[in-house]
Amino acid sequence: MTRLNSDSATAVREAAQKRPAHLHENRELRVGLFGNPNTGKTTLFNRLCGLRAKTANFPGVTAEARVGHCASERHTPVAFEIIDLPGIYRLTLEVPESRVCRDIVQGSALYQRPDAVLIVVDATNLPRNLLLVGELLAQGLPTVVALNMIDLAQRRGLTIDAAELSRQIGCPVIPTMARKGTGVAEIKSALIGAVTDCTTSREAAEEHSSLESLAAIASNPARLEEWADRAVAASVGGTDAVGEASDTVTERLDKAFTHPVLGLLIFAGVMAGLFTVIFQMATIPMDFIESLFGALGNWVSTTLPPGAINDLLAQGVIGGVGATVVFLPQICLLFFLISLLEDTGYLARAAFVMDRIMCRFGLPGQAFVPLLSSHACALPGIMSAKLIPDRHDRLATILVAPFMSCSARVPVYVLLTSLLFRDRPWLAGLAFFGCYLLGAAAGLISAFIARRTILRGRSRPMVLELPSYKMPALRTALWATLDRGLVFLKNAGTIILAISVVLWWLSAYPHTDPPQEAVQMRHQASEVMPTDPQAAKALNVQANRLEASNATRESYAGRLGRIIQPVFAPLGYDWQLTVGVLTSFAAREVFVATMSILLTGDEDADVSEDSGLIDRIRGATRDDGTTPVFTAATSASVLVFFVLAMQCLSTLVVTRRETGSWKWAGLQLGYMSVLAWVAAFITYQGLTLMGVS
Amino acid sequence: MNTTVIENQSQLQLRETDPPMAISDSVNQPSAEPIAISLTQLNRGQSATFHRADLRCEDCDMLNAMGMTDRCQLKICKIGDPWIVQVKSTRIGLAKSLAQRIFVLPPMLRP
Repeated sequence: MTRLNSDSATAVREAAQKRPAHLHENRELRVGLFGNPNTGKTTLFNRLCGLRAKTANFPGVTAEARVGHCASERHTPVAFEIIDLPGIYRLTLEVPESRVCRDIVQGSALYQRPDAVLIVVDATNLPRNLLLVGELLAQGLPTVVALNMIDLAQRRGLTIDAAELSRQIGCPVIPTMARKGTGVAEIKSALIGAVTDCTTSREAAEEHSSLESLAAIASNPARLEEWADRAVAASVGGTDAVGEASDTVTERLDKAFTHPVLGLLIFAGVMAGLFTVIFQMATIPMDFIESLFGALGNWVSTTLPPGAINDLLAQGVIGGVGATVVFLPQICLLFFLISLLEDTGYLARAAFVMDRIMCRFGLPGQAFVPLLSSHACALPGIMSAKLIPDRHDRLATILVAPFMSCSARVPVYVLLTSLLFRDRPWLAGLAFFGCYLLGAAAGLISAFIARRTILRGRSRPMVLELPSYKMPALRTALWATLDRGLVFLKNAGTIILAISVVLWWLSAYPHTDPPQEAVQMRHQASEVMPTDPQAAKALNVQANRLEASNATRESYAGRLGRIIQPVFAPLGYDWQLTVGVLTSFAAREVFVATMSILLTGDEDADVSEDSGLIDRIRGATRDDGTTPVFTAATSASVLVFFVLAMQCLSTLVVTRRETGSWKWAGLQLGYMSVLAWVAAFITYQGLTLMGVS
Repeated sequence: MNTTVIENQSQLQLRETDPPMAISDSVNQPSAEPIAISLTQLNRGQSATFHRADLRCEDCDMLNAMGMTDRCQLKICKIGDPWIVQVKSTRIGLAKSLAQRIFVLPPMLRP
C-alpha cells in the first residue's frame, strides 16, 4: 500500500491536469485491460481484438502481455490498442504482475500511460473485484468496467443493477458475456465516451466520493472494503446474496483431482492421453505438409535451371524450412489441448497435486506454472519464474526450467521415436511421454541437488485461487493455438530459415570432384545402357550415393563434424550426427532440418518408394555405406541427449537476463550438457551391451 | 451477547494429528472470547471467522487480496493437503503448511 499512499494524490492531480484526453484521428486509443485472475479477461480481449493481436514482453520485466488492435463500429471508427495485462488481485501487492500494472497505469519507468482503463470484473464475485476497481479509479484515468459473467450471476440468483453500480462507483459499467461476445460493442462505445466526455466519470465519482477521497479510500484497505461493500449492497441487494450456493459437484471433483493418489493418477492419465492424442491426430496434417513441401521442392528444382540458386531454394530453403514446419500440427495440437485444459479449471487443481511432489524437491508450488509453460517454450517459462517471490526458489526454477520438454524438442522427439518404433504408434507415444517424464524427473532431481548445495533454503507454501469448473471455450483455445503457431512459424521463417541456409551452404560447399569409383561406375553404366538398362540404372544410383556421400564428407560441415566427432563417438554418433547435435545448440528444432539436409542428399535412392522424411533418414547410412546412421541404440542415445541437453542460445540469454549474471547461464549450460552426455553415454553403452543395435 | 460458547463442541473436535500450536495459543485468552484455532482443526463443511495468519507479509497480503480479510467468513470445502476454503464465492486452495498457520474463530452459540 505504501506506493499508492505516497503517489496516489500526485497521480490523481496530474491526471486531472492532463485531462480531458482527446481522441486523435491518427492515433489509436490506448486502453489498459485490467482484472482479477479468472474473470474472463483474456476471453474478452480475444472478442475485442480477434486475430489482430500478438504476444509481447514488457521491457525489463518478465510479465507477458498481449497487445491487440480493434476499431469501434461507429460511423467514424475509432481505433483502439488494447493491452491485455496480467491478472492481478490488487494494484498494491508487491508481486511482479501488480508492479507492472502499477507502473503502466502510472506511466512510470519505461511505460506509456494508457488513455483509458478497462477493468473486467467477475459478476459473481463483486466485493473482491471492486477492490481493484477502487484502486484503479483512484489513478484518475477514464475508466470503464466490464461486468463479465453476468449470465452466471443470474443463474446463481443474483440480480445486479448495472446502472446503480455505475452510479455508485462513478464510471460506466457494461454487463458482458465475453464467451458469447455480448456487450463488446457497448464497451467500445463506453470507452470512447469515457475518454471524450472526460467529466462523466469524474463528476459521478465526486458525487459519491471525490477523486481525492477515492485516493484516500484506496490507500486504506478497510475503507476500500467498505466502499466496495457499499457499492455491492446498493446494486446487488446485499453482499450476502453473492456466492452462497454450495456446489457439491465442484467439491467432489476437487476431492478427486487433489487426492494424493487418485489426483496423481488422473494427472498422469490426462497427460498421457494428451500426448497420445497429439501423436495420433497430427499424422494426417503432417503427411499433407510434408508432401506439399516435397512437391514444392520438386517443382522448383525442375523449373529453375540447374545450379547454385536451384540447390539453395530447393534444398536449403524449402527442404530446411519444410522439415521444421511439418511439425506445426503437433505444436498447434499441444497448445490447443493445454488451453482447453486450462479453461476447464483442472490445471489449478493439478498445480496442488504437483506441489506435493515439487515441495519434496525443494521447489515451490508457484514453480508449477513456469515449469508447465516451459513445456511450450523455456523462454516464457523462465521469464514467468520472476513471479516466484523467493530468490532461491526462483533461481532453482530458472535453472531447471530448460529440462522441461519444450515444443522445439517435439520435432526431434517425433523423428527419433518414429525411428525407434516404426509402425508401432502406441509405443512411439509411450516413448514420447517418457521423454517428458525424463525431462521433468531430471529437472526435479537437479532442483533437489541445487536446493541442498548452492541454493539452500525452504520453499514457500502454495496458495492459489481455484476457478470454477466450466466447459472450455473453443474460440479461446483456437486463438491461443493460432498465436503460438504463428510464433513457431515466425521462428521457422527467420531463425530456422537462416540456419537452414547456412547449414545447406556448409554441407554443399566447397564443391568436390566425384570420387574415382563413381566415375568408373558411370562409365560402366553408359557402356551397358544399350544392352541392360536396369543394370545401368543401378550403377548410376550407386554412383550418385558415392558422390553425395563424398560431397558431404568433404564439405565444411563434414570437416567440422569429423574434428569434433571423437567427443561424441562414445555415444554412438558418427560425424553426421555430430554435426546435427552441434547445430542444434543454436536451436533444437534445427536438428531435423540438419539431418534432412545432411542425410537425404541421396535423392534417387528412394525415388520409387515413399520418400517421406522419416523413411529417408531411416535409410541413411554411415560412411561405410552399410551401417545405419540411426541404429536403435543410437536413436535412443540421441533422444536422451536431446531431452537433457541445454541447446538453445535464446534460453541462455534469457537466463542471464533474469538472473543478472552469466554465472547462472554458464552453470546451466555446463551442467545440462555434461548430464546429457553422461546419460546418453549410459544409454548407448547399456543398449549395446544388451545386444540392441 | 455476554457469554459466547462454541456452537457444537462435537463439530470442533481436534484431530490428533494436528499440531498443538493453536491450542496453546488459545489458553491465555479470556473465556468470554471465542477461541482462535488453526484452520486445520475444522472439519469439512464448517464455517468460521478469519482471525489472523502467522505468515510472511507477502503471503498475508496475497490471502488478503484473495478476499481473506479481517473477520471474513470462510467455509471449509475440503480438508487434507490442499485445504480448500471458500471465502464469499472464491475457492482458495492452501498448502497444508500454510493452512496450519491460519487461525480462525469458530461459530458462536446464539444467546
